[in-house]
Amino acid sequence: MKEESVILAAQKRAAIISVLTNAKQPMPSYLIFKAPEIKKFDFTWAAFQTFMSAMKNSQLVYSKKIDDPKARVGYFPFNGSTESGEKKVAKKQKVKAVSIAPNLKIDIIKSTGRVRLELNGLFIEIGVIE
Amino acid sequence: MTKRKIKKSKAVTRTIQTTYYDHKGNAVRINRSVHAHLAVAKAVDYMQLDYYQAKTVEVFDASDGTLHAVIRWRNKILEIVFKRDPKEFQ
Repeated sequence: MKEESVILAAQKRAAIISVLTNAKQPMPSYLIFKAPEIKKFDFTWAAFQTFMSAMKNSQLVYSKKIDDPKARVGYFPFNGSTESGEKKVAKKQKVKAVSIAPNLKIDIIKSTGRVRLELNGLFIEIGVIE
Repeated sequence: MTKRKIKKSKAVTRTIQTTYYDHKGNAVRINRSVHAHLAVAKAVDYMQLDYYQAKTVEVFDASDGTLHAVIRWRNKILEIVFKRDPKEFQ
């Protein structure tokens, strides 16, 4: 039963977006309600209004002020990715690989007769005590 | 020397729309494609990878309003709630 309601809601959303994409101008809600694609679902006016507001909240449909005596705003579908989507989907940051190989340095000091080993900042001096 | 004729590709409208929703029901991402079967496969791919952190995805044709697929996460299992019958394509 739950799955059926999910499918039905998806079909309703698809039908509303198809009506809006085919229209060249933003459509007021009463004209969307009268469309033959929407009439199949047997919407009541109140249910349709709540459904449209839910779609508006989820950023599927946007509203714009229009010059119509019966309605204040007209709806149009969003083309492209939503703003919230761009924020949420953060790009994976590249992590710079740190060299694991040890930094080994050997210095031979002729004047003192010693050998200095340097391993990642650690000094070891080897020599003969006179 | 013969001139090579370059065929002009026809403008293709991407009518198939894939909408990803998060757990609150907000649209996270809208993708568009030409072919429905490729769009559904890509939607499953992105859902499995958790690419957009989406819970539900809907694939439908924005020009005529036909629903192609509804896929969602449920109890840590990717569930295909609805898919269009392939006989309808023939």
